[in-house]
Amino acid sequence: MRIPDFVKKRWDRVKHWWDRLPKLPRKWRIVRNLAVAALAAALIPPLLEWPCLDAYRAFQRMEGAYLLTPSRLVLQEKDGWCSGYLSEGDSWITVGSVSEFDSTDRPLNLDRNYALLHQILPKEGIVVVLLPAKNENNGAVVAVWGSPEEAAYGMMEMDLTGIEDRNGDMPGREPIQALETFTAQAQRREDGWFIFQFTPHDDHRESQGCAMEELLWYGPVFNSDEMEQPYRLTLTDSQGKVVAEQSGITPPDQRLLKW
Amino acid sequence: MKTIMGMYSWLNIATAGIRFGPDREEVQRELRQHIEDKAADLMRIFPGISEEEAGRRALDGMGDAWELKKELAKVHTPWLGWLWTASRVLLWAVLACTLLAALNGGMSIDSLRYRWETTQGRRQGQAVGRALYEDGVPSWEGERLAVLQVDGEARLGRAAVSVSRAARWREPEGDCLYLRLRLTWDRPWEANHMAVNYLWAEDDLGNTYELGRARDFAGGWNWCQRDLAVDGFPREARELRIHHALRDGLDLAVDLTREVAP
Repeated sequence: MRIPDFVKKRWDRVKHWWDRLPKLPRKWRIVRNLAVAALAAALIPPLLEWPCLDAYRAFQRMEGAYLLTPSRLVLQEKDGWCSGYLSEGDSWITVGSVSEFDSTDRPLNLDRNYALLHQILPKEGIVVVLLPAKNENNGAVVAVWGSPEEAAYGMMEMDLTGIEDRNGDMPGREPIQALETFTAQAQRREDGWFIFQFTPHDDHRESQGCAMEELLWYGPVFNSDEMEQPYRLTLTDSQGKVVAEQSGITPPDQRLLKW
Repeated sequence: MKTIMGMYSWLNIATAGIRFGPDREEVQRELRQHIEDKAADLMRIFPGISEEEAGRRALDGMGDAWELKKELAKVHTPWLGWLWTASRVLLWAVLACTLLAALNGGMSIDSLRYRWETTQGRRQGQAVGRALYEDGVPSWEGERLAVLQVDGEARLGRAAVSVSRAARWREPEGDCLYLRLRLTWDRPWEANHMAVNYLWAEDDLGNTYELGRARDFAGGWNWCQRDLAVDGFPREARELRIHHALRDGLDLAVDLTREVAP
């Protein structure tokens, strides 16, 4: 292939100009190269839109984005490709999740931590939240804040309704029950929180799934509406005397993104 | 031919102690040039001498190649050369990565189009800003009653909340106050327009306001800004305090007593 004359001329002119530039001593060339490399390297994170390589850091970024710092991590649960986080500040409670998937359609995406804040709640009264990730037994995790000082033990009943049955269409498969009730107990932690760890029922027929196992199966990003579940909470003191009772529905998913 | 071979052999021995390749080639080139110049001089001074003889004499005059090898090895340490090569490799690698990153997201066609549209939007936004707080003509129905000189800044979390401009307006829906409110994050990756939605305000008369409606918004690499409308804001109110809906830490007082223009 023949290079056109005007290109050659241009190239010669550039080369001539380059050759006429004062040549730095080798030491200074090293300094120059390193400085330019550092400058160019500093451009990479913003060009890639500040990739975050760690799930917890992605959650912390979301907290910072909503001005919710400094905060303290109360609990985290890793559930397959999704991690759930519960943190608290002076006057608020934050529930978030970080799911591992590529939320962009770019050829190069280092950031596979898709963070969402599901709830930002004021610390008022007794606050009950369902974590967006399940525990190692494939059961829900519910956290309670704001119990009376004397509360030492807690019992929670949760009615799971409206759970998507991912195997419902399989031949010979019975649909999961429209309403299934689960019970869990918890002891007051030193920081005042009650963490209720639920487990699925183990008395189902083989052809029928348990609602607890199906809860949030596709993660909080896709099963957002399943985060609202009815519960009944009973808190007792160390003598077994009831000190507080509360029933309600776990708070809806606010789905707060960074924009 | 013999002289040429002898010269290359001499050059190879003399420069063998230079461990950094580009330096070795450079020194070889210089020495060769020197020998050739010397041979040319000899032929000029002694016209009867043959080219081969001139070359041989010039080479003899250069001295012992082994001795020179030792001297050159002492002078030319390789570390600086290797470091220089490494810095060049690093530089090109980083530049390639930067280009890749730029093409990946920051400079795709869609992205550039978006940036262009954003720039156009900013021009419109500047026009809105001029209409709100200066002598611009508004594109909406309303009358500017007073431009106020305000400034205030407070910190919350890892961000600063500031108010830089304000103006009282009368619109068909009623009186309102426009505020230019800016959030600036310490960490650019946390910049988030939605954070403004958690702010609310109260005046010195005890009225509270949601800060939902905005006439314009803008954003930068670590900040976002809105020209917020405080609807139903009475003329008698002399101060506005901005708070966070869930946090106690924010109490940004905005003094509304300094009118600078009608």
